[in-house]
Amino acid sequence: MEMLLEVKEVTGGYLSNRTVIEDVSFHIRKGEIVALIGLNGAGKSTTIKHILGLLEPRKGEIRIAGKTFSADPDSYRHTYGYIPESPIYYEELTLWEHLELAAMSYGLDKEQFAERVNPLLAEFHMEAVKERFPQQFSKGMRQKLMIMMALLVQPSLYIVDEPILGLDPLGIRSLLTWLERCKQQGAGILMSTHILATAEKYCDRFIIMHKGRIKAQGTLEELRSLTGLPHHSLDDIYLRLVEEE
Amino acid sequence: MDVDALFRKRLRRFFKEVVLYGQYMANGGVLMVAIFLCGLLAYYYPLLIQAIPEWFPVPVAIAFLIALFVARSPHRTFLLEADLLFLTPAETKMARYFQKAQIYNFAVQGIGLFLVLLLLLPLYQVKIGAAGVQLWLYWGIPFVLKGWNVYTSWITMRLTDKSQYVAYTLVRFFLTFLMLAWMLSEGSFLAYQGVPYGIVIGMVVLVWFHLRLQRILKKHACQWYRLLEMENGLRLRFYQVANQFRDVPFLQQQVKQRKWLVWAADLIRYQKSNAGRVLILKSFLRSGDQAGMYIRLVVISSFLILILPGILPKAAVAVLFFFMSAIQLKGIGSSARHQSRLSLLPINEQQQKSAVIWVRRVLLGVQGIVHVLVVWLWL
Repeated sequence: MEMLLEVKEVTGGYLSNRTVIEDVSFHIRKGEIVALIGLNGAGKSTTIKHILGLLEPRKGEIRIAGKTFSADPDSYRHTYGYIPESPIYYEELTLWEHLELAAMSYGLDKEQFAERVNPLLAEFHMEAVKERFPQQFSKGMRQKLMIMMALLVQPSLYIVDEPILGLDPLGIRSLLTWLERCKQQGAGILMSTHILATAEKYCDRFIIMHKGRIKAQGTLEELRSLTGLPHHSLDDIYLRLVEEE
Repeated sequence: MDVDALFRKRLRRFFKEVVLYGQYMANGGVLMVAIFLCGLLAYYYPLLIQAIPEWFPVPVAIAFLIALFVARSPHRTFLLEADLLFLTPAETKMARYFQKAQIYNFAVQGIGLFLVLLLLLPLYQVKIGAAGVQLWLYWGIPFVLKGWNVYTSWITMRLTDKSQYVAYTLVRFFLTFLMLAWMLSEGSFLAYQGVPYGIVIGMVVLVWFHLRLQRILKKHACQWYRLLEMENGLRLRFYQVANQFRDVPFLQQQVKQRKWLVWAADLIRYQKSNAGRVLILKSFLRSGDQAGMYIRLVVISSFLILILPGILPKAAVAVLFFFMSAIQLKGIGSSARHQSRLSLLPINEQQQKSAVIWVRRVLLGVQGIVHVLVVWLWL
């Protein structure tokens, strides 16, 4: 299977004198959903920021589809779709204009945009508000805007940061089934989350971060044999791993 | 709690800001523009006065203009969002605080009124030949009415129903206008055979109005959310003016729908390399302050170009306003405003910068085309 994302021995953080993540290595292949799990402050978001090219690793390297950020920032940014934890949006643009501009800036042609946009609006029940401004939206609706922008572009790699918080149950189901479909079409997905039950149900592999390092990674079976908890849920395995210290 | 000290503290803090931004404004070329406009006014004002035909009811028109300024009494209260939580328990003690706020509002609006009266004085003197007691009345009565308007409008701020509030405001304006027209026309407004029927009716309405106000005072409490909304609106306007000269960092921008304008951005061709242009142009067209200011500049300059005689003054105005717009449009895409946005879409900094330059050029071009059209219309 082809490698989509490779994170190799990355050490980094926001300030040069304070290390937040240390020696982090993992990879994502085509057609798999990988969960990034950890407590608040474990380094999940920092790892994601490094992958996005917003922070520069102090050691190690990150490649998406074989390319590093510094080699070609523009094409690097075009290969992934990012759903941020707290929605970012343009105050001056309506929901529809956000989608249109996303399609435009990622280089979709007009027909592709027209074809993809309406099913998305229908799936997330946002047709009625498409002419409104995100400022008037609730947190969940803004989150849906972020999700739709990423799904519209159909990149080969999705990076999803805490997507479930603030989303209503229908929205969660829509997102997860949609991501499942993207996975079947060959996309790779990195999803950071706290909700272990959901992660267990939808993700193929798990990366457990603790205090800036990777504590364990692998499929549920591999984690079970690693911890010696053969029939336990991800919840139990996770607590065992974290409480060991 | 010492509400007097609280008010003083807040007033002082606001004055500090006024002084700070006042300095920026003084440095920002406003003085030059003001002097230029004053010169223009001094030159054309006498011509304008002469052009007014004999039959035109000058006192009534002046009364109407002054009444607009007298009756318009917004209330600054220096309230903050957190006051909803911390000051509402002390509501009954807040009377003194609000009293001070009213005095402040009277003083500030009085300054504006003084300028309006000063501006209209030559017109009134030349056309009516007013002198003596009449002049004393001219300088006195509007301020008395201003005080009355601040006082009564403050009471009507307690009304919860918007349409009722509007009705009270209209009555307030009507009474103010009646008084002013009667005074400026030396008692001849709506009078018949020496009996001033207009003012008699006005007095009856006035008594009824005050009886109604007493009922409002008994029936309704302070509308904290309304007061806060008004305070925020007025404060925002101050910052918007200041923002013309200096980026006010915490200024929350209002976004307006502006369907009648935004179609212009849809003319840009759908194409990857145009994404930055669409973003910047739409942001500009929907922004409350920047586009509003630009449109005002275009309208005012077009109007001046239309009415000024001779091609030379027209050209001077066109050039002056071209520079004013250029300075104004410098604020587009300023970094303070658009910081968090870089990561949302893959439109890189270079593309955004060149899009900003493109939008500026287009807007200045549009202004030029409008001016040319106006001149062409005049020819």
